Amino acid sequence: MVNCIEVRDLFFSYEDGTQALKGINLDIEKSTRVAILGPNGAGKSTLLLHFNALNLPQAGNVYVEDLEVTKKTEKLVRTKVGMVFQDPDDQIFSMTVREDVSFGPLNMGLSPEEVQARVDSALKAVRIEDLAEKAPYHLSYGQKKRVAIAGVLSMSPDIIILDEPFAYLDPRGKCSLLEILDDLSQKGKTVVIATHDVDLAAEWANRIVVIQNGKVLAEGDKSILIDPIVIEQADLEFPTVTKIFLEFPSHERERFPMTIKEAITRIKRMSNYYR
Amino acid sequence: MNNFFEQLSNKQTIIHELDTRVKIISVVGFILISSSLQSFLGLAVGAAFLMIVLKLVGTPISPILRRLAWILVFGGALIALFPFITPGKEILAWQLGTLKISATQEGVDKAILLFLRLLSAVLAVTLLNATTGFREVINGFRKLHMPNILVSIIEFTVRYFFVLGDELTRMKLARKARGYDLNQSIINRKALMTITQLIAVLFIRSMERAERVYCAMLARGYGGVGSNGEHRPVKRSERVQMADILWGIGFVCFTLSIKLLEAGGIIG
Repeated sequence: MVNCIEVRDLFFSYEDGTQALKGINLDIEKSTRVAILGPNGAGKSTLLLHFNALNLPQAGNVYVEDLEVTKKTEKLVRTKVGMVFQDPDDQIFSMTVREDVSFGPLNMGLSPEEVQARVDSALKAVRIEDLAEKAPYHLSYGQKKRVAIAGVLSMSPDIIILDEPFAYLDPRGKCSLLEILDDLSQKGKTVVIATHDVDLAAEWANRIVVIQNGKVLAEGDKSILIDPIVIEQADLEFPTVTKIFLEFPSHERERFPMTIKEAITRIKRMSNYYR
Repeated sequence: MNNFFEQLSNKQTIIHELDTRVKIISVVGFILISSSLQSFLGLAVGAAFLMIVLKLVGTPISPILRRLAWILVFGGALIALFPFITPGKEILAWQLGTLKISATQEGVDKAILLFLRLLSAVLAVTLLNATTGFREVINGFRKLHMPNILVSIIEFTVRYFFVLGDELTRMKLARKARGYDLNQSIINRKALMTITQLIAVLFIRSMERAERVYCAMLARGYGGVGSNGEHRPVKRSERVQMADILWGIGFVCFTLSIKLLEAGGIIG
């Protein structure tokens, strides 16, 4: 597999002296769905800002599609990596949805026809074509979130990063956002989210990175989420589904289920066994 | 802009349909000329004219007046000061120990003049807002080649005014939830402290938000005003029609004629 983001010995401190990143090493493969997990203040957001060249490495290196992230390459990097911020009000500032979604492509210096085409397809991708002429500040939170995502999609980045994308969304909003993210990964995009929602990571991601205190604590497939040592050290919790099965000592050698689908399969099998 | 003006600006009258550039220029012209008027009568006629036009384009007058009351709170403070700081014939005087406070006729006249000027300027801007969508006004500024940075500042102010307003409402609610009485007198030291802290926190939050907004703009390839400055293309094809210009001239001529009548000593 090809890596699209590589992080080597990355250190970063804020002006007030807070050391946010203390030697991060990380590879993100192309077309994967990555969940970066960690408690509040672990350094998730600080790390994400490096992928978009909004933070530049103070020590160590970050490579995006073999391009080293530096002051010189920051603009190019930003066209390859789209970043969706946690609070859509931070991101959306124009008078209409259409204007806001065209902000990125216009900054890229594209022709008006190209901008128009990209805006239309981005609005379609997040299913808000009907809101194009609306003023963003009259929209609901979930709708604003979609505008924010469309604003990034219109730049057609290969890598899309979302900081706590599910925070404050209602169940339906969560559901449609998951569908949007699925669409994106089906198109071959690399999607990286930062979250502390283990259930969501279990359901959605195929690659897990756990960050604790500015370092990578564990990295791998979803089985990390049921590793008691990792979970405890990272101040996280088991996925809800797993918590239920922990109460039933496993007579099988299989790992504990962690998604609803896995749980259903397991329960069906267990009921056959006891019948 | 808020819903009130947004709804109004969706109506269709001759004035709504006028070219935005013409409207901006004629409103600015109207304000410039009417604020140079010296007579109460001239200013009052100007203000009445604006009221009539507002009424003609279908604006309900009472909400407008309520809105005016808010703006006059700010102007009012200044107006209240004038009678006391302008030298002239005393009409009122208080002796407070060694300190003597007196109001003068000249001061009162000046205050009324200032009030009327403020009134007609605000009414003129209200007319622009009531007949033109905010976005149209912004585009109009751009078409008039107003520096992009100024247009952006106006745009951002309006955009984040509502976000800050929501934030303030939430903070007030949270304070109330912890038993704070909103109607306390601000002479109370504790209440004063709470209010100052609230304002300070709001300032800090705005600053932090500004940083995040800027970050989010950079993330989408923004390079600063000037480098790729106008992020919205302006169509050059829209030419001003003769009819638009005539309406604009007519509007400005109204106040100009008052000015001329005043200069000729006919009114005032």
